[in-house]
Amino acid sequence: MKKSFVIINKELKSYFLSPIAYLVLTFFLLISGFVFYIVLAEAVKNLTLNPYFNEPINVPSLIISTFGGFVGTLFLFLGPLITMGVYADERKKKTLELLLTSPIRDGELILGKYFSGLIFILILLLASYLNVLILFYVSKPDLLPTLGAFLGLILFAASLVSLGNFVSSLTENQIVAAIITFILFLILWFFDIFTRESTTGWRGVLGYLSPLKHLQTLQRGVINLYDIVYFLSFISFFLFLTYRSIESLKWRS
Amino acid sequence: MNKGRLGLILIAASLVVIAGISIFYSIKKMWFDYFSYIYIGAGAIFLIGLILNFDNIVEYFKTRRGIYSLNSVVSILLFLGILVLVNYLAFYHNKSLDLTPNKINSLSPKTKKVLKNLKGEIKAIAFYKKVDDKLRSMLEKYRDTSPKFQYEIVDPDKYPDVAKMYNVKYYNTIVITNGKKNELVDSVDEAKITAAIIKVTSNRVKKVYFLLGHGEKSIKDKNVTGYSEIAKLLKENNFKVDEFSILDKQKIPDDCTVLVIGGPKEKLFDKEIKIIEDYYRKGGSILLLVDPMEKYRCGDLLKFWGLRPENLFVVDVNGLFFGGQLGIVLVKNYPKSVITSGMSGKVSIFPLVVPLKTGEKGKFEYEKFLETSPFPGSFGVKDINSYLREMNSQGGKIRFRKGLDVPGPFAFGYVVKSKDKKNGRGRFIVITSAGFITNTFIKDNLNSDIFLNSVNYLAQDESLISISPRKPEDKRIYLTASGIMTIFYVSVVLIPLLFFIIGVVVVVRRRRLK
Repeated sequence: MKKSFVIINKELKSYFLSPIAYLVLTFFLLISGFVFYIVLAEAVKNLTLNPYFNEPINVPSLIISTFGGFVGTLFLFLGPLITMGVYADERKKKTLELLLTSPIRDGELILGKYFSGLIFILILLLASYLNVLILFYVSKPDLLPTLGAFLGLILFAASLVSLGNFVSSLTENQIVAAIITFILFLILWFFDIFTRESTTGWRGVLGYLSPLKHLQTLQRGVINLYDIVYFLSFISFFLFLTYRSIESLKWRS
Repeated sequence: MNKGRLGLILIAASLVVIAGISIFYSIKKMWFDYFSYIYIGAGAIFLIGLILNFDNIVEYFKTRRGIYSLNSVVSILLFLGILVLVNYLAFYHNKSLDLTPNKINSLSPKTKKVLKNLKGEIKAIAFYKKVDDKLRSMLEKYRDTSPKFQYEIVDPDKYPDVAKMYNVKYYNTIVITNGKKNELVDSVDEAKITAAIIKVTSNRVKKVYFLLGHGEKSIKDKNVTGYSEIAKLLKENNFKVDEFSILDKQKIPDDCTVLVIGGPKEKLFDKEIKIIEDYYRKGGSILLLVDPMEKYRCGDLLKFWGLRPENLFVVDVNGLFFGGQLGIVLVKNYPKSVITSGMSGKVSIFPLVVPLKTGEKGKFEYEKFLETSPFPGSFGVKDINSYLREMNSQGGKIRFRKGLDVPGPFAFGYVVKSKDKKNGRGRFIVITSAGFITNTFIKDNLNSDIFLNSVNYLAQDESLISISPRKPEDKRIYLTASGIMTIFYVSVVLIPLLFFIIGVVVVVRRRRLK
């Protein structure tokens, strides 16, 4: 396992010593900050200052879930860009062979690569949640549901990274990896949207397969055992596929 | 063509056929008998293809590559199988944790118990034009609590046949069904949905008895003034229906869930009144329909609940206009109550009503759910004969006579709740218009819904009525315009800038180090 940390260290260094990471971060925070501001301003205008709105409403939690949903959508676009190069780039530069013949075991390599991508996306997530801290300053949001929603986003991002890693291991072309990851995740995303109207039969199964459905439950402030199991299964399945795919490189060539 | 290639073509062709039929079925939802034969045929061709390729397959798996890929595929399938199993177990033995302080994502303990004891599958079919957030989150709560609960949201305009199958007449109706029995629910309300689930699943049949013996309207009477249609409607809603006379049995039948007293024409005996009151005290449910056409207006019965019929003839301007008869009352706006929630704007019609006065408050609480329009929409006339004479002499125009007539509105439907169990543990509803559910009046309006809602309310389990919707804690954010501007600067300028500066510092320092 120690060697995984070596990989993580090396990968994160290469992320954070290049200007691109900071440009991505700045860009991401600019968009999410702007959305946060819009959501907050609208909520204050329409829900708090509207004298006709008498129903009890939890404005901070509404803002947090809307913001969380948006950050999740943003990940859908950003995730593939972060993971596209993980293996594809190394394969193209022929450095992956070096890694594979080094004394690092395949599993360690895969976990190291996986967690470095995940840590990078978590830094993005944490930075964007600075906005939510502001919310704690101007109002009293409920802490537990906020943490639950945050956990949802972490698991969601972790799933996205594991799928992205797998796709990246299949090709030498980064752009192809990014596009395929995006399309696959988009399809899974739409599984939820197309099956919202029914839980019966195959539509129930398709809906269950969509990460969006499970993310939404966590965003509502509910933790279901099966939501957690789903995300962990999703992550481990694609890590396992990555493992098999990297392993196959040895005997396929 | 060699054997192997022919085999590949056969495999490909059979797969195309199978996929084609599957896609057709999933989109069109139609399955023809011959599909099954084609399916089997395609499966056979697939097998033949495999057999033709048998040698090649065996050859492939003899190579190192073949062994490894077989190993890979098998291990992936195995892993996937385990994951499917784990997810299946997690879904069917789900534990749920609601993090919100008011538990707005949770169902009441009563509902949870009902769902836990479900034996078969229950399906909710919601007939909504648009997928409503409130509806979906409510159905999701049920779904998350029990995997035996399924739901479907159907647009009744797109599938009118499905709506017709379940007897759905209005938008935003939810049908609860177990495949055999159906129950209609008219709003996204936990108490109502759970009550419907109980009703669909329980074998105990709820029985509605209609009182006889004093000229009440009969459920066997198929004439315009009879109750035969409403009895049919009750049966459709999973109630048993019967008639009885207290004089025969000297008591209310033991299996009586709701007692309907449908417009008695003659005074009840004191002994009968006492039996009815006792029935109420011990927890019985009563729906009293007073007939304003008669002299006897159940004053002696109503006294127990502190209510008094007023001797007024109600003139409703809209009722006269639409009904063509003096005395017809048209209701479009309903006071907020358990019976008429969600009915606002829809019309119900009452042929003659008697205004009700509530007595001293203290023992009972009164929730009015039917009321005539506010003045000048309705007013009460003390002596109808002299009013009619005057009206006819003035060319048939209706007119409010100041000083003589009483301005509306008048309440004529009450849910009476006892404040103290000592006053009685039952439930009581009164509507002073026995004619409103006769065979002529229940068509094309809300009358039957008002009646059914009343009976459903009276027949409900005690514990369900106490389920009230969970509401989020009221939290608002108060910010001035400058406060909002500050947030703009922090969120959109400061935070991104901070990371940008860190980036510049790191990159510049690294360049210098080089």
